[in-house]
Order: sequence, then structure tokens, then C-alpha cells
Amino acid sequence: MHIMEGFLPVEWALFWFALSIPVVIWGFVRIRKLFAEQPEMKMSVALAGAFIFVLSSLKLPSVTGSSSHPTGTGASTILHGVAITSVLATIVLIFQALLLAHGGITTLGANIFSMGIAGPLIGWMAYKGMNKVRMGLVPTVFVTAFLANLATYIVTALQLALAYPTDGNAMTSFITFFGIFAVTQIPLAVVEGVLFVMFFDYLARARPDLLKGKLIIKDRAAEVAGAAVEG
Amino acid sequence: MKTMDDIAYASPFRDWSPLGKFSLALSLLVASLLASSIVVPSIGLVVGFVLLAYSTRLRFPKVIVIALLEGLLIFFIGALVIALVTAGQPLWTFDLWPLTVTVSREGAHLGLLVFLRAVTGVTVMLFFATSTPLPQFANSLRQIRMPKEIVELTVLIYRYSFLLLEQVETMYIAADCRLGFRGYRNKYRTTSKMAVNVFTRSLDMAERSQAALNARSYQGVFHCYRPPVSLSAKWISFSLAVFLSLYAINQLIVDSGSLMCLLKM
Repeated sequence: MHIMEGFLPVEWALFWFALSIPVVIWGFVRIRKLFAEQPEMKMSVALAGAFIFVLSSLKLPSVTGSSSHPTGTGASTILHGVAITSVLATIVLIFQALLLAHGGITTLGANIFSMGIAGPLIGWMAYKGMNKVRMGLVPTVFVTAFLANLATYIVTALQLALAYPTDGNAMTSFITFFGIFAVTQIPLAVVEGVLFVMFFDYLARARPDLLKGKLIIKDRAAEVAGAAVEG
Repeated sequence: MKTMDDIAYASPFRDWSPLGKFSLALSLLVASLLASSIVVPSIGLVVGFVLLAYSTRLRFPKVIVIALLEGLLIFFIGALVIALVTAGQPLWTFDLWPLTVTVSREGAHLGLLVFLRAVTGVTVMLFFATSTPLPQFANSLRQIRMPKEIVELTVLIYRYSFLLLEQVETMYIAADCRLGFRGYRNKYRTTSKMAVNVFTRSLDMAERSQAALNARSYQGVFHCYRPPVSLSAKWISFSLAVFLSLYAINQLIVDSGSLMCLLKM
């Protein structure tokens, strides 16, 4: 869920742009440094962006009957970190606004902040915390993707509540916005968590080298070999 | 996505300056956002619709119709929530046991204004999207000194999206033929498998692309030999004139409203 074109007054649109731009610039500096040190990474980063965009076109059924798509920022945070995710999310949001009429140009700053910064940051904090206490792949990925998705929607509801407060009270407005969006968004956050647990589980089997040092993965080959020896 | 790309390449406005078109679209959007009267977004909507109709040669492809209809539904729900949360003089009251919902006069006006702004915004942005191929727009950003890494990343993501979408389409048909989307459980399992396959294939594709580029003496820069038409002073003046005219119309309407109130007193 993105804030659509025309939904934010000019002052709030500018405010969210002002908050998002420094983070996107920081992400850009990181990408520039990465490209300077490893020019071959240009293709990988571009394909990671294309992957997020394509992923957002995979429709999933929701409990309430509607259908939605994964944001992909939780997975991107685990694989690339918050800074690079913010730049990739910015480019993907521009594509979505122009090609799919989803989101908007004047609301781009607010959408970057919710989907490209706040969501990945909360997800990253959960991921780092859970990795530190050596939690396994399933709980780490589920909580990271769930929180990244949920944080995106909480921030979106907050952005709308600040722009349209009820009688000057943003909290009442926030409860109304979040209450209405929660019906579809909480189940969707769970769905995205489940989807990415399956995704990383398959990825750990297909390309474990990509997750080395990023997630605690059980060595399945050693387990099978151990079981064979015991047997 | 491919349909949008095809429309953009066939548009009669394709050879206009991408940044010029963008500044015009932006002036219509900002004027609509600043307006307190519904007249200005309505004018923006008419202008946007005429440009969109001409850009698509009055043939609205299914993709645009779906985008507009889907957008209208989302706008309606959003505008309704805004109307409900805005306090003011009660206009309508609905008794929905156990709740009583009241829509204020101010809320109804704000909801309608936001709805019109959103419809205008989508129409104007669709005009821009259906008349400007995205690589052209990305390359035109070099004129405003956008870092080349961002421009190249944007173009690469756009190009690779087509390749990945093609693969997703093939995988989707193959999985569907094998009843891979039957029931919720299968649907999630198939979707996640597809996502992993697309991801691993994208990595292979990146490695192959890098090798192909290296073989062609890639030095880290993609050159653009036919740059798009640059942003001229004419475009800036025209966009500014459009913005100021709409702003003036809004002020006139607001002032005439105040004048009417004063006369009534």
C-alpha cells in the first residue's frame, strides 16, 4: 500500500521528501563506493532492483478476499542492507508510479520513507538482534519480513494521520487509518513473512553461498552424512 | 509493463522533451495540490485527460483502463476515510449499530477535493508515462546533472525487469499447467519457488551480462548516442505559466467566495 498521487498536501509532501533525501543520498554514496571498488557489482545490484520490481508484480491472495503483493524490502534488507535498499526502493517506486499508476510522484518522498527507509530499518534491527542471539533462519526471516512490512503500513497510516488530523488530533486519526488498513495489512504482513521464510529456505538449499554469514543455516549435507554414519 | 512501453514508443508526443513534459505534469500536480477549490483539480483533470487521449490516439488499452479503475476504487476508499476523520459541521449521519458515523460538511468537501486531486494526478502521470519511454526519461536526467550511476542503474533495472518478467511468465504458465496454484498452500509454495528461481536466474544473468560487457570493452559507462531533446526555456516558461494561471484561478474563486460572504453580511 502506497500513498496515492494527490493524497498529501504540499507541505507534508515536501516534509517527507526532506526526511527521505539524506538517506537516499547516503545509499547512493554506498552504491557509488561499491561500484568503484567492484564494478562487476553494477549488474548484480541492477538485477536486485529488477527482482524487487518483478516480485511486486506477483499477486498473493489475502485473508480478507483482496489480493496484494510482497514489498520485498525485508528480503532486500537481509541481502543488501538498509542504505542500498533505500535507493532500490526509490527506483522501484518511481517505476510503480509511472508504469503501474501505483503511488505517485508528489507522494514519492512519503512512500520512500515508509517502504524504503522505515520498513527496512525496523526489519534490519530485528534481523541484527535475532542474528546476535543466533536464532535460526525461520524465525529470523519471518520476523524481519513481517516487521518490515508492518512498519511500512504503520508509517503510512501515521503519514496520512499527520496530514489529516481529526479536529487537530493526529492520534485519533491514526487509530482510524490504521484500524481500517489493519484488516488487510496485518494478514498481508503474515503472508509476506511466510513467503520469505519459504524463499530463504529454498535459497539456502539452492545457493547457500549467498547466505553465508547472513543467516544461521543448518548444514543439511552434514546432517544427512551424520545420519548415514549413525545408521 | 510491456504495453506501456509500446504505447510510449508509439506516442505522438514521444519526441517532445521528457523533462519538459515532466515539468508540465508537475505544474498541473502542484497546482492541484495547492488548490482549495475543486475547480482547479477539475481543470487539471480535463487537461490531463485530453493529453492522455491524444497520447494514446484515443485507444485506451486494457492496461490503462484497469489502472484507472483500480486507482478510482483506492481513491474512493481513501477519500471516504479522510471525509470521516475530518471534524466539522455535521452533514450526514449514519446509524451503523453499534457505531454512529457522521460526515461533516468540511469532511465531504475535503474528501471530494482529495479524490479529484488523486484522479487528476493519475491522469496526468499516465499522460507522461504513455508519452515518454522510461530509458529516454532516465537519460534526460543527465541534463540536470543526475549522477551517471543512478541513471545507469535506472535504465538497467528497467531493461532487466523485462527479461525477468518474461521468465516469470514462462514459469507461471508451467506451474499453472501443473496445478501449482491450486489452493492457498500450493499458491504460496509455488510463488516462493518462483521467486527463488527468478532470483537465482537473475544472479546468473548478472554474471553472464558482466562477461558479455567485458568482452565488448565495457569501461563502466553506458554511452547514449541519441540523447533526448533537452529542457528548453520555453518549456519552463510554459509550465510556469500553466501553474500561475491555475493558482490565479484558485485565488479568484477563493476571493470571490469571501467577497460573497462579506456582501451577505
